[in-house]
Amino acid sequence: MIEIREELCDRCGTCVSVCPRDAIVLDCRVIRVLPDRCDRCQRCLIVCPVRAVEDSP
Amino acid sequence: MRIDERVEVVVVGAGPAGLMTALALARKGRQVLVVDRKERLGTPVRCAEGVGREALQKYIVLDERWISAVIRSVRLVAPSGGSVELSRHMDGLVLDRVGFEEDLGRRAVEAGARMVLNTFVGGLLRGEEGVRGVRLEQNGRTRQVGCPLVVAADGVESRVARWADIETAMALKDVETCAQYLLEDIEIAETRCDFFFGRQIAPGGYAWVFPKGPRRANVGLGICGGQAARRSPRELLDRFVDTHYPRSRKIHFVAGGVPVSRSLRKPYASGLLVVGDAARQANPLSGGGIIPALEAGRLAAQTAHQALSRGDLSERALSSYATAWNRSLGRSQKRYYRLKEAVSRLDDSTLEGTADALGDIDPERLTLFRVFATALRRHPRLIWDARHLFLPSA
Repeated sequence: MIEIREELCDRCGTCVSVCPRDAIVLDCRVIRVLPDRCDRCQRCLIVCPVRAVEDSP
Repeated sequence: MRIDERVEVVVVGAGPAGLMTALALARKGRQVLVVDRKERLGTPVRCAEGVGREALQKYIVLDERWISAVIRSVRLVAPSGGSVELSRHMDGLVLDRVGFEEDLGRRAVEAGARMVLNTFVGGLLRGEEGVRGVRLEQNGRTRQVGCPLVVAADGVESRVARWADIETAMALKDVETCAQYLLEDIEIAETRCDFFFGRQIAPGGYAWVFPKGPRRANVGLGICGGQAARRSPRELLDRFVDTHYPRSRKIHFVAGGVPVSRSLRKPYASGLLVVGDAARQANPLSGGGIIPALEAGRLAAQTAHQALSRGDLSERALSSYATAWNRSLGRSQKRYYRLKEAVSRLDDSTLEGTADALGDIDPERLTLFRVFATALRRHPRLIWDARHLFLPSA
């Protein structure tokens, strides 16, 4: 499952810009991955400038 | 459908593109609501803040209060440290983006636009004929605002256009993933921007040093999204700063993504226009996005005003925005994209050879054209891509 570590995240939205499934929500306060939309392509994980995205089995 | 409020235009995103759209529409007497999730305009500054003076003056009266530095030359540094400096016709600015955007926002509000911050757009309201409004989320409350036109100016992380079925997700090679520090106590030339190239420094991108006044600079780097798996921009930037500016102090950090993509082929839908980074309109070679955003805002406002006057917000009526963009910066944007693709194939030895060959030329006589022409001699396939690039306007 793709997860974003909020303590590392800078809320820049680079992950959102490459997500092919519109599965990442960045609102006023939180950033979260919608598990039912995410297909674990890991593009978000690759582009994150601060390595805040993780994929755990 | 419950509608709590009606306006003529909702602009989602209060960056340069959204604010310029709002300002231009408000000046024409349109009822505009600007919504942004941030609390303060311009923050955080995910930007190197560089812009050309002449280009910026076409859109806004300059104010010394938001100009941090005036740039008279640019230095390009090859992987081994050899460099070339260009100063011909160079008149650049490094902005204080917070002051700049607050000023732009103030002007929009004075012209009659309304601004709501700390508010998230959670979805679009859609009817038979396309987009009909937005759903706002503010302090746990939901409000539905009806409008005949929505302008998506929600930046690189745009989702609004997707909700109207416009595909905006970028390929990894078409996004630069970036990190930047604001450094103090840094030894730099106050009127010169530096660009560092090389696979070890910034694979598929470059590092930049943009002065922000005495001993103060934005120092950052961007790398090709496809090459970020091995080393992240933050790790590369820490190494770059520790090597080049070991005695500087890190004041502030930001991360960010820059579209270096073709701009959206269809930046409109029935009841929707897409502007700025959301429409992937930044310069794909430099990553500069301020001027394209302002130009897109200006053009979007023209189309919007006309469409509202005629009462026709159909896809067909709004397509004149894309036509106007293609006739304006869209043309050079396409050329820059081709050149970006070509430059991304240059290897370090080509960059070295270019710096060596240009080393003895007087900076006053050196043009960007000459730099690329020299690179091209060692890499002839680039010529085709670059042949249109350096017209008088560039």
